[in-house]
Amino acid sequence: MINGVPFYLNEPKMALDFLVEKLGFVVHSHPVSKNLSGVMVGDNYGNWYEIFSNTRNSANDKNDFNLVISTIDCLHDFHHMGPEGLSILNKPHYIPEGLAFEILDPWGNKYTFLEKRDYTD
Amino acid sequence: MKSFKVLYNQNKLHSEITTEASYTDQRNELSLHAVFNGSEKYKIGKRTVTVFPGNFLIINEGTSYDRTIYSDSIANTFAIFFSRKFLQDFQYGFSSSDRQLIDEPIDSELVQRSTFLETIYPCKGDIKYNLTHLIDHFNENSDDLLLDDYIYHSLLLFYRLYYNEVLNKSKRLDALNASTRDELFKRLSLAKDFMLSNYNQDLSMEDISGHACLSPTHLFRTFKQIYNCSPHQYLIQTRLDNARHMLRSTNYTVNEIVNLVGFTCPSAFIKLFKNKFHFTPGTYRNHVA
Repeated sequence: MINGVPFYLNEPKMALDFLVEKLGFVVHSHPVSKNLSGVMVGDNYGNWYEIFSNTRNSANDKNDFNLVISTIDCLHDFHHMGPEGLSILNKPHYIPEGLAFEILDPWGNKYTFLEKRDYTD
Repeated sequence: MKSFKVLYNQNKLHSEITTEASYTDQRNELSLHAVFNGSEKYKIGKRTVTVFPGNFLIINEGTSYDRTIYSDSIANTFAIFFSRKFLQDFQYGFSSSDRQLIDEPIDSELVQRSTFLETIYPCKGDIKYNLTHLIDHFNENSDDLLLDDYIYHSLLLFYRLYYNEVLNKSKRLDALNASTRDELFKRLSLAKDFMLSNYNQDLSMEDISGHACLSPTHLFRTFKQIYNCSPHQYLIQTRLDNARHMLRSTNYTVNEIVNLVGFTCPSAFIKLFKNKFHFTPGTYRNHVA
């Protein structure tokens, strides 16, 4: 059974299309979550995310809109990010966990692309 | 095998995988030279430095140097040549938003610098990740704009490294005036480069201090201020780091590695390795590397 990281998105149906068409995600063929309400999507790197409809509307729930996508090459992903329908919130920048950039889809969902790096080596 | 590419903005990338090569009287733009396997020897003026994996060398624009690869194992080298225009555009266009990319205090005075201390720098952390990606894309013949992004980040990360490794560290010699401090830092860098280049040799404190034109006592005291360890400890760490690289990337036995990195006693090596990396060399090779 695939376990995905749960995320709550605005307009999940359109956001899913966006993930598939613009970011190259694939939708798992069968719903696999326990309550059958989420949709499982996978990125290009074998990570799975369980997408739920965001029913909250409090400003305090802002973080739930943020889908963190693991990447192995942040600059490459940023370079190939198509301009249509995307708002680039920031360019790839260095954070304690690695290299990251953020984009916004037309429905206000934020996606953080994060290339995690091991600095203990 | 040798690959060379000139980008649209005259930045150049050079990769070479070989056991033997020699180039004399090279003179280029500001350049960064990294080694990912084997070693590469550079003669800059009267000074000879050898670059091993885990380090890179910076050579300023116009500096004349000889470059030699002569190695039992295949050497894998990579260099970036930053065109003058690219460097000027970088300096001219550097803004607070660029500063935010690296989350470090880099002032505009540093960014205006176009000559650097020609020394060996550690190829670790972000700059290592960045160079590794750049080499992959260079080998895949990716488009110039993508390669240029990596070159931009390489330069940005080098400025950050320069700030931390040179400007910040030299400030630790705070009891001296600026010119004396700079000269002393240069000599300590010579001592460091000598150890990094010859770590596999039987080096004495006199060899190291003589190379840096400092007395052994002066070297010992000031080296510790900069690098937080004695020259001897620095040499041991360098040997251990290189041993770890060999455990990961070669088939040499542990006993062979002991000799190759300059240790004489295998049991002392194993004890030191375990203290530093929390695994014995054998366990590290089998389960961690």
